[in-house]
Amino acid sequence: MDVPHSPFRVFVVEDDVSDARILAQLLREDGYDVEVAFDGASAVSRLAQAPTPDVLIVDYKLPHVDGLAIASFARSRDAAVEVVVVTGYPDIVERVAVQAGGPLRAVLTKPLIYADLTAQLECARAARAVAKT
Amino acid sequence: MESSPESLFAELKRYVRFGPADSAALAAFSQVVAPHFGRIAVAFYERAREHDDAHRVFRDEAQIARLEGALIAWMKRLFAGPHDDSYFLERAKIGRVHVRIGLPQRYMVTGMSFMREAFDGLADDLPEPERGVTRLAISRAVDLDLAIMLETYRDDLLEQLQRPAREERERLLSQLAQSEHRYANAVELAHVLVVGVDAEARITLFNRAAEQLTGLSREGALGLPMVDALLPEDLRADEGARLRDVAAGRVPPPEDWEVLVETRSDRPRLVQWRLTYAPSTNDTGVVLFAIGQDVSDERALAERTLRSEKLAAVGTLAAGLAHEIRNPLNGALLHVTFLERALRRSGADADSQDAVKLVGGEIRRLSALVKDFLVFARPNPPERRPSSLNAVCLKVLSVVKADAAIGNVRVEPDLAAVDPIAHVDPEKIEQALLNLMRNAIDAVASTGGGRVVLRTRRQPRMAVIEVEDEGPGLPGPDAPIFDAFYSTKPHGTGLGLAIVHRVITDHNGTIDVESRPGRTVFRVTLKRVTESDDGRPM
Repeated sequence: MDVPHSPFRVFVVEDDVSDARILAQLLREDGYDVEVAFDGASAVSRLAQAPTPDVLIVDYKLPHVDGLAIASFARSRDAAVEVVVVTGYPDIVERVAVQAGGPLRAVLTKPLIYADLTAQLECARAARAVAKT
Repeated sequence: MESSPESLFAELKRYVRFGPADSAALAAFSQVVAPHFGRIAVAFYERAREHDDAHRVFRDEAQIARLEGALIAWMKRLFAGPHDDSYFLERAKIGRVHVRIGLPQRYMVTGMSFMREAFDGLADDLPEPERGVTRLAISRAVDLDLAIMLETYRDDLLEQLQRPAREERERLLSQLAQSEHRYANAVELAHVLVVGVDAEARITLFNRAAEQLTGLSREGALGLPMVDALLPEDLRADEGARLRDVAAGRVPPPEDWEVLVETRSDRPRLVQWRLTYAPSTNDTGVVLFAIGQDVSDERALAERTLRSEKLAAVGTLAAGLAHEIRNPLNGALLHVTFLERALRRSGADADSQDAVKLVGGEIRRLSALVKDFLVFARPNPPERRPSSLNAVCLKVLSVVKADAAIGNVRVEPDLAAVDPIAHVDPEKIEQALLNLMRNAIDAVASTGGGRVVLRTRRQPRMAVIEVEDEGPGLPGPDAPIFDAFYSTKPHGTGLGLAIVHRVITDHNGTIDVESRPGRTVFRVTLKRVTESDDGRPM
């Protein structure tokens, strides 16, 4: 992707290592700046350091710290961070979404349809652009 | 006392030797004694009132005056006669009055003794032989009176003593009649089946509830072997032998006897009988009472509950499994996406690219199945609120519009002019209607296109939602379309209509279907919130 704008930083938190890697590869091929973490604790320690990503793509059920708690922590660093949850339990996530400490861009159900994710990422990019101006 | 008044009176007169001469003597003396009657009466009651117990009998002066008058009349008649049957009856009446007021007999004797003395005193002034004749007549007349009074006193006393016993007997008889009536009514009108059988297990008692359940009339049932009359044919041999043994007293009745009973109009009903062996030496010949209760509904409910509990348990397990399936599917789909992209980039042949695409399609289908299955297996209870059904329908229409256009299907709203409001979970109703609409659109699209109508109607107490399509119709009237995993669509999960059915019945609504080629209507009926419902906004 030839990018006229600054790199769009995506942080993927997914405990299935091979799924996380393949998703990261697809996203990189599509021009996103991708970082990956495989559990909640490492995700939080990464978020504690600058720079904060534009979008957080998190699973809900994760070792140590769940996805919504990670989102909440990310918000404490950057209130405008965009959050997409990818989960096998969308009903539960919808019920406890308030724990994310702010609105969720989307709750996508596993198995993830990749095109649905990139559509949400483009919405998020637009929203971030507005937030930064 | 079997003797007639005449003969008794005659007997008494003979006994005291009272004759016409005595009557004549008394009549002759009457003129002498009459002026003294008032004085004698006063003295009599003065003496009587000296007695300790007098207060029990004498209430006031007016009563004393009345009694004195009566005594004067008594004296007049004693002397004037005639001493005939009417005299006897009059004297007997006085005796009965004394019984009624509870006057002890000894007062009658002492009272008569007082009278005798008073008359004798007056007779003392007569010259002989009149004096002797008169005194004798007075003595006989007083004895006669005393005898009559005591005789009737005894009769009345007996009568009085016997009356409570007779009244008690009559009361018991009427009570028995009443309790028989009550018993008959209790048996007749009881809501349980009451059947009595004789020692050969033939019906001798058959109440109304038994008539109602079986459809047999009492006349038709009486005399038939109970088992033949009530039980389905295949049970008769075994149960018949068993019941005959019980009725004959050969074996004790079972604790309870649960058996199917045939009905004329319906399926056999399960009846739980309590048998009471009560051999009776008299009348009706009922030796065994069978009190039965129709437990079919109760059992069916229990079975349904058990089944739904089992389903819930299976559902919980299955839902856990379904969730877990999503993780491997996720990995599979991501890798397929990666492969698709790699094959395209490397210029692989079309077949390889199609093969990978097919895997992706299958994974998505599996994903849809999991999603539907989770809705079906783990339904969360509806969150009801008064909801506009027209609004729900409009939302459904906006969602399906794009799919419809692809299949060359026109979707048309036909909504009630006055919006029907129902107390429902709008998201769930929306889901149910979406499923119905998608089916209708698929059906119409399969014939190359046509029309689907989403209709609402407001009925007196109900709201009706119809989905009508021009598709080819259902496979047949008995197709188990609402069963889980029944599908006629190549890529259907078989859960769409099962979910619809579950959602509608969870709302206590009904769903039915009419179908022929070219016109299929699914009709959902829900209770409407009416103007009279309290506290629910319209």
